[in-house]
Amino acid sequence: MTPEVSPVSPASPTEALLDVRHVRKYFPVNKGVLLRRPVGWIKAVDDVAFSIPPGQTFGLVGESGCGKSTLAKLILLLEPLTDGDIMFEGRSVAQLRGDDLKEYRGAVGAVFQDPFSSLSPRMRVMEIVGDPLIVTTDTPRPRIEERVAEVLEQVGLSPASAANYPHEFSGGQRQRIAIARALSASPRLMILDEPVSALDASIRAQIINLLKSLQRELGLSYLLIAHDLGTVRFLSDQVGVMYLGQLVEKSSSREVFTNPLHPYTRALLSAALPVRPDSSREEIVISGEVPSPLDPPAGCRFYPRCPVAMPVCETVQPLLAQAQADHEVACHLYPTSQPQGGGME
Amino acid sequence: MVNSPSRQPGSAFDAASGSPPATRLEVKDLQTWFYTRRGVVKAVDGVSFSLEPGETLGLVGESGSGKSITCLSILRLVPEPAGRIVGGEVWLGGADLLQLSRHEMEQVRGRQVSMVLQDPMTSLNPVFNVEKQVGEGSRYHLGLQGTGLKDRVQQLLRWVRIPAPEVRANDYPHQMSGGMRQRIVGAIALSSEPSVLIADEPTTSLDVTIQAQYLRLLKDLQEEHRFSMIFVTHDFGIVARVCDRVAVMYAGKIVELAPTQELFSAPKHPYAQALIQSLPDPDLEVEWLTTIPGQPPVLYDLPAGCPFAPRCTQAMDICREEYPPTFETGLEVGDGGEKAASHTAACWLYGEAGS
Ligand SMILES: Nc1ncnc2c1ncn2[C@@H]1O[C@H](COP(=O)(O)OP(=O)(O)OP(=O)(O)O)[C@@H](O)[C@H]1O
Ligand SMILES: Nc1ncnc2c1ncn2[C@@H]1O[C@H](COP(=O)(O)OP(=O)(O)OP(=O)(O)O)[C@@H](O)[C@H]1O
Ligand code: SF4
Ligand SMILES: [Mg+2]
Ligand SMILES: [Mg+2]
Repeated sequence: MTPEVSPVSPASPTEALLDVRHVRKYFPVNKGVLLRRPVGWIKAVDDVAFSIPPGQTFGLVGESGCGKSTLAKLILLLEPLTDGDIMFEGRSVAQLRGDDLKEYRGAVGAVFQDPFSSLSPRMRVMEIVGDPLIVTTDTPRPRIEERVAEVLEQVGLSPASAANYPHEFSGGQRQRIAIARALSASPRLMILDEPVSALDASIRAQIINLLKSLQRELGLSYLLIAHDLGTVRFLSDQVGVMYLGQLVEKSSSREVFTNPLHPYTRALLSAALPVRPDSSREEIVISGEVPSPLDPPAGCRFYPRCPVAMPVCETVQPLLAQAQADHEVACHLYPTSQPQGGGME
Repeated sequence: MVNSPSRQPGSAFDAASGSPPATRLEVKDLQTWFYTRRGVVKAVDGVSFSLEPGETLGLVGESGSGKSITCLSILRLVPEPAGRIVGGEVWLGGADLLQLSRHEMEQVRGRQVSMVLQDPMTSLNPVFNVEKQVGEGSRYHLGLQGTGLKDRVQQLLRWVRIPAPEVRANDYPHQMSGGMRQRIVGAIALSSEPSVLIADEPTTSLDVTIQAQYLRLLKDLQEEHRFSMIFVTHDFGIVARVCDRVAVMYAGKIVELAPTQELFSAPKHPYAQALIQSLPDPDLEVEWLTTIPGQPPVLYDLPAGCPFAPRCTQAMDICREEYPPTFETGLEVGDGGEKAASHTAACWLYGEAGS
C-alpha cells in the first residue's frame, strides 16, 4: 500500500515545495551527417531560478523555443542538468535514489505539451491513466480501476472510455486523458505544459476550474506553462516571463498583468488577441528576426527586437533584480539591473 | 522582411504548367463513421458547406465534435479500416474527390489541397531532418533540386519564423520545441502552394507574438495567391482575426454557420451562445469560469432529437424528439444588392415551433 508517512519529510509552510536554483541546460549542436562534430551549444535554459511554495501556482510564459518545456523536463528528471540544482521538499532531486526516487516520481505529476506522442498507442486508457499508480505505488487492481473511473469523470470523459485506445479519441479528448493520468496518483506537484491548449472554451474552463478546486482542497502546487494568458492569469499566484533561456520578469500574477515592466512582457500582453472581437487594444508590434539560443546577443537578449533599446543594452547584460516591491525585472530601463547597481539577489 | 513567393524563381505559381485555377470547394452531406466494438461512432454526420476562392472558413466547436475528421475526410485520410466515409460529396475543380482513384487523389493532396495536421509530431518523420521534410513537397511537386531546393527550404523556414534556419535545417524533430515543430508542419503545407489550405489548430503551441506574425504571414500569402483556408481553432481571437465565416460543430454536425462578426454579435444556436459565454477574459479577475453544465455527448449513443437538448436551457418537447433542420435565421441583403450573407442554425427555436 501507499506509505502514509513518506520518507521525504513534507515541507513546512514557509519552505518552498520546489526550489529551482540557477539551472542551466545546454544542448550540443553537431554539424556534418557522419562525423557529427559539435560546433556550438544551444543554451536552452541559462541560469533560471524560482521557487513554488506548497499550494501555489507558478505560471511560466514566454516566446516559443525559450526553454519552458526543457525546464519542465529537468524537473521531471527526463534530462540531466548542465548546471544548478533542483530541490524538492528540501532535498536535491538529482541525488534521489531507490525508494526516494520512486516516491518523488509519484509526488510529481506531469501533463506534457504534446498529448499525442506522450500516450502510448498500444496501451488502453485504463493502463495509461493508471500507470503512475501502478509504477509508484502498490495499489490493488480494483482500487486502481475505481480511481481511473473517478479521474476520467473529473476531466469530462466517460468512465467507459477506459477500455479504448488513444487513437480513438480527438485531440482534446487525448489531452484530457493526459490530465487524468497526471492526477491519478494524487501528486503534490503538477507540471502542466500547455494543459488546455487543445480544448474548446467550455471544457477548458471546466478543467481550469477543476485544477483550481483541487488546489484548494488538496493543497497541490502547479508549475503552469501556457501561451494562453487568460489561463495563466486565472490560475497563477506568481508569474515568470522567459525570453531566450532566461527569466526576464518575475512577480505576482496581478503585478505582471497590470504593471508589466519588461518591454518583452509589454509586447506579449499587447499581442494577445482580445477574446471577444469587439474589445480593442493597442498592439505593440515587435519586429526583427527571432534570435537564436545558439548565438544569443551579447548584452540584453531582447535588444535586437526591443522598441525602447538604449546603447547600453547592446553590450551589457541586465540583471534580474527587484525594481519595485516584490517585482523583479532584467532590463536597463531600471537602474537595479545595472551589474554594479547592487540590485543583485 | 518576408519575401513574396512569386518573386522567387522556384515558385509553383509560375513554374507549374498553368497555375491552379481559383477553385471553389463544396462539401455536401459528408458522413464519416467509425465502426467500433461499442457501436457506430458518427463522427461526421451530414456536414455541408462551401468555400469560395480566397475565403477563410473557421471551424470551431466542442472537443470531439468532428472538426478534425471533417478535414481528414476532405483529403480522404480518415484512419481505415475503423473509419469510413459512408456518404456525401466533396467537389473541387469539377471533380468529386470522393470518386477519384487513389493515384488521382495523391496528385490532389499536397498540390491542390494541403493540410496542417493537429498533431505536429505524427506528421513529422523522426528519422529525417527538417531540410529533407520541408523540401519534399517542392522536390516532388515543383521539381526543385540542388541549391534551388536548399534556398527554397531556407525561405520556407524564414516564412514561419524559425531562427537561424541555416543551422536549424539540420535538426531532427525531437530537437525542436513544440512551437517550432508546429511551424515546420506549417512550412511543409505551404511548400507546394496549394489552392486550399486546411489548418487544424496550427497555432496552439505558439506564443502570442509569434502567432500574430504567423497569422499575418498566412493572410499576406493568401491575399497574394488567393488560396482558401479552413481554419480549425478553439481560439476565438484567431477566428475574429482571420475568418470570414465560421461554422460551429457539435456532435458531428454543423449547428451554426455565420459571418464572423455576426456569430459574435448575435449567436443563434444555444450551444454557440453558451460557448461564447465561457470565454475567459484576461482583463478580469474572476473566481470561477463559466462552463456549460452537463457532459459532452457520447457519439455512439446519441439521444433522439437534438444532441444538445440534455444541456440546453431553452429545450422544448420537439427538441428531444426530432433532429432540427437547418433554418435561415436572418438574411441580410447588402446595400448594393449583392449576394445575401446567410446565417443558419440547426435549432428548433428558429422553426415554427420556436416562434
Ligand atoms: N533534445 C534537444 N536537442 C537539441 N536541442 C533541443 C533539444 N530539446 C530542446 N532543444 C532546443 O532548446 C530550445 C528550447 O526548447 P523548449 O522545448 O524548451 O522550448 P519551449 O519554451 O517549450 O517552446 P514552445 O513554446 O515552442 O514549446 C529550443 O531551441 C529547442 O530547439
Ligand atoms: N479511430 C477512431 N475510432 C473511433 N472513434 C474515433 C476515431 N477517431 C476519432 N474518433 C471519434 O470521432 C469524434 C470526432 O473526432 P475529431 O478528431 O474529428 O474531433 P475534433 O472536433 O477535431 O475534436 P478536438 O477539438 O478535440 O480535436 C470523436 O468523438 C472521436 O472520439
Ligand atoms: S534591456 Fe534594453 S533592450 Fe533589453 S528589454 Fe530593456 S530596454 Fe529593451
Ligand atoms: Mg514547449
Ligand atoms: Mg481535432
